[in-house]
Amino acid sequence: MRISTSQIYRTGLDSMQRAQQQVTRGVMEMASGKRILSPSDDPSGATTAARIQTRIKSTEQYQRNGDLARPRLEQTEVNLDALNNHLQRAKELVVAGTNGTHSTESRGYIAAEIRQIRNAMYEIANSRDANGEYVFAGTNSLQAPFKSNGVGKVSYVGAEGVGAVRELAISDTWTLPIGETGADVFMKIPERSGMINEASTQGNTGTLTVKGTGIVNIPLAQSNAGKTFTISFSPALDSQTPPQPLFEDGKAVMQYSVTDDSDGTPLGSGRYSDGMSIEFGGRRVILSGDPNPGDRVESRPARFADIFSTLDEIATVFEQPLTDDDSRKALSIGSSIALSNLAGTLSHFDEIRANVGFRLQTLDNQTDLNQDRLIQLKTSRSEIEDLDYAEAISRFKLHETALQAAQQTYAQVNKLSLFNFI
Amino acid sequence: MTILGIGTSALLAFQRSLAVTGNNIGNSATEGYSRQRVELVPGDLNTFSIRRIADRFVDAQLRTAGADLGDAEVRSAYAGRVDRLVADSTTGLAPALSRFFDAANDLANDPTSAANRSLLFNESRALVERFGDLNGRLEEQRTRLNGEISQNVDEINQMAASLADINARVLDRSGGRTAPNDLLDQRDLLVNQLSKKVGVKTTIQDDGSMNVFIGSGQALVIGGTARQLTARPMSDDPINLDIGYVQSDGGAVKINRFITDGELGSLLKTRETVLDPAQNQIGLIAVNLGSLFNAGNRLGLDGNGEPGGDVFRVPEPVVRASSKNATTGLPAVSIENVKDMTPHDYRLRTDGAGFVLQRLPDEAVIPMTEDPDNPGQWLAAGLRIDTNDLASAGAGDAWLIQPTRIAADRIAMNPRLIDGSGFATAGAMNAQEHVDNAGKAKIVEVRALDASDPATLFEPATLRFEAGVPDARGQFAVETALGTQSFDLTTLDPDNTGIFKIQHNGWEITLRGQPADGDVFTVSRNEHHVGDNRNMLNLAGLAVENTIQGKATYAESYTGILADIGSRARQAEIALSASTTVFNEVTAQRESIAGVNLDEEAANLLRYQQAYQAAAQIIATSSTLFDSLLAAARS
Repeated sequence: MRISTSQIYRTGLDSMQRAQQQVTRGVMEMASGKRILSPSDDPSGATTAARIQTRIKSTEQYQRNGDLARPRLEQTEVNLDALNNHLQRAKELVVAGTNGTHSTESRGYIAAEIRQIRNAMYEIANSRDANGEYVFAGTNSLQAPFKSNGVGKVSYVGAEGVGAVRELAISDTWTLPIGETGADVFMKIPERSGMINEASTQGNTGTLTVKGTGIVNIPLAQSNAGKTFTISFSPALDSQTPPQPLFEDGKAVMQYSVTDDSDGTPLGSGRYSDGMSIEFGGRRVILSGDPNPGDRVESRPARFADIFSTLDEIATVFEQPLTDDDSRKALSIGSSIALSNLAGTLSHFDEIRANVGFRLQTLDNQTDLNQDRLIQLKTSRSEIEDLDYAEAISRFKLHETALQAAQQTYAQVNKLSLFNFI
Repeated sequence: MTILGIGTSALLAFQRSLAVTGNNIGNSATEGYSRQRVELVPGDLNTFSIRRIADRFVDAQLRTAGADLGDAEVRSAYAGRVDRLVADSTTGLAPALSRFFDAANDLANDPTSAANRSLLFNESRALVERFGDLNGRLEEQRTRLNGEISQNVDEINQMAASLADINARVLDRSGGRTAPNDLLDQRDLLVNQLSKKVGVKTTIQDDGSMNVFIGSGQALVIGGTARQLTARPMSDDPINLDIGYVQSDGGAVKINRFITDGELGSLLKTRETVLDPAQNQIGLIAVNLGSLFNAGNRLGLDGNGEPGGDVFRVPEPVVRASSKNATTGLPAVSIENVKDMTPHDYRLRTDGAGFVLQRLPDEAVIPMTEDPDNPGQWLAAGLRIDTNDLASAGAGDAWLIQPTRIAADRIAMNPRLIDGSGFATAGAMNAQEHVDNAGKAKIVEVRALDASDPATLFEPATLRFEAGVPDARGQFAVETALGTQSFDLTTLDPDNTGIFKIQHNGWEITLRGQPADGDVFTVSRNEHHVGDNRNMLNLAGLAVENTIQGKATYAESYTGILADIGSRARQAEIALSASTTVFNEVTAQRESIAGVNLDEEAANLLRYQQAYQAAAQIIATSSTLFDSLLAAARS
């Protein structure tokens, strides 16, 4: 083919420029350590790398969440350990105090120590974490969760219900509660002795409320332990035939009757008056308000015995002097209630500790898993977008040589001209 | 013929040849120059012509190759720039998005921390700024592209005028003895340059003039006259320039769709396939993220325990009326369901019978459904289009709807949100089961669904289970101060899965397990908001939800933009390298035919010099002969 002079120049220039582009590309690749400098270099690779990058970021976030969850769970665990030690000591004290050979004074010391323990546990229940948040308050974490009223009755004012404990995501599908509410730890401890009763007015339409429950006859109560009694209300009738409802001050007079739920035995009845104490089966229920016909009050074994009341009550029992059989009996029953409930509390705490421990273990497993995944993801990303230096350097050398050759050829060819010889 | 005559003719012929060779040497570096040769008629030294050596077919190939090269150069330049822009770790959206959601997660981890709140507040601002900045950079590319369109059209007009002028001069000299080679070279060079701009087809008339056509046969130059093109907005979009033919009345006819080749065609295509989708997509991410984050934030309680407000100010779709509309009315377009929104522009048209919605740029008709509760309001593509102001619209009236084009620019922080306390970290509702419940039902979750009426939402509710009514499975009576409503279990859980949801007054509770008669659950306002992170967990969870068109997360959607632009840039690079190769090859062919080779010319120079010397020698010889004759006669 015929070659024009300008074509010779152009060809030479083109090959030099191509070689220069390759050399520059090599320099940029080696300076950044990346094979893909912009998505157009490898669109599918760049897209995959970007997806992997998103996964890496979210996995790193899960790791951070885990780092935050761990100390909180660990603190809960430490607190539970401390509570456990206190309870063991309390149990020893109760066992010791039950011994009738103690003088009133020495039982008083035991009671004082029990109260000390109760206060220490109250302190733990209201403890805060490094962040200043109350550990057992649930999501109401800037307010002390436990309040004590004037007579030492402790109540829980923290968060309860769904979402009461903050949860953290440790993987796409796992969220982990990072604590326990005080209600679950200290208050909702199953009552074990069957001797503590409560009364419920659920489902009633009237204004009846329970003011208090208690035991009036210990042996009778003991024989009825675990039973449920129902107090039902109906209009009081007069003695006319047929009987007419009785009214007083324009209000219908109500009468109550008590039955044993297990066999339907009637245990007494009477006219109801606001604020009265109804006694049956060794128990007492104090009611106030106005019942409607058909309203019922259920007297049943308490479901929960909070640890503060358990300790308070046994301390109170120990502080009573032993004067007669009744008081000796009260001591023995009080101790047995306390011992059953302390044992119940210990196993309750064990359960919660196991729970928290399980969560810590899950967290550790997930953290390891996330760590492995991070390594995998980073390896894949590196395979896609990182530069193989050995390959890049040899490629660079090749292009460098090509550039030198193009330059030398250009210079040589341009020396050739017939005009040099004319 | 006398020997002297022969010598003189030869001398003149070689002198001419030497001059042409000299001209070739002189023009060896002139672009578009075609080498020339003196052609002698065998036996007749007095008749010679100067031929311009060129190949019309190779020239035509060169023009096509030039148009392809121009196309590929523009595409690869713009796609490459946009590619680097969106992928860059400082100008791209990906890092800002990921930092924003990291901050949301951190706040979820510790909702009591004021530092985390202010971090999220600042990351939100940074995200809004990043949207605006990215959009601004794409807008810069659009401005530059529109500028290049305008500049190209100016250059095309100048070249067309020059071509018409050359045609006129060629016509003037058409009767001359020698061909106007210099004019033909100029003309070919101009056509080649023009072809790179817009892609042309040419025909040579018998009188030697050249007619030039663009696109699919639209005349640009006919003989000595040139048509003028113009670049001005001719669609409803006031920013984008369109290409039009200038009419005699100064108006213009839009010819965008015919311009498909060369740099100009490529600029139009690039605007439609790279810039518009990228800006619309990024706008869609902005609108989607802003709307969903706002909606989520309104469902929770903020740092002060109050119901959350909007975090972002999300722009409404832009509507522009066509200048030819009979009515001045505008349809009111609002966002109906952000998850159904697409990254497309739309055109609403009246066809006399009703309204038609077309998707742009492919003009596919998108079905609209009329809202049964609001006649005249149409729902399509996640939008609500209210046509009630368009009563006086004439057939053919049209409106351009750009739901997300400038959204990335317009999205802003809600000015009422002045610090991080406005982020709703806590769930709005709390639910508890009564301590005396005998059944197995447990609360799984409670949350707000609609917080537009807080008084109703926060009305404390009691859910009481009643066994045996209305059928064996029983029902829940939900009691609030506003009234009682019953939900029977057969309707709530038709398949008896044991999990069911009750929705009432804007909240929803999920229960699992069989309740017993008389069991009570309560739902009320969450009073323990301080350390609650339920709502922020949901908001942070938006990062992994398929929110964009229900198919992709924000990060995936943005990666999709990267992939799309990246592969377009890659294609453009491949096209550039291919069309460069083709162009170089055709150029080499042309050069091989028409280019000057200096060695060849040097050889010719020697040859003609020697021939010239020989011819001079003929004259000298003839002179000697004559002298000899005179001397013989004298002696």
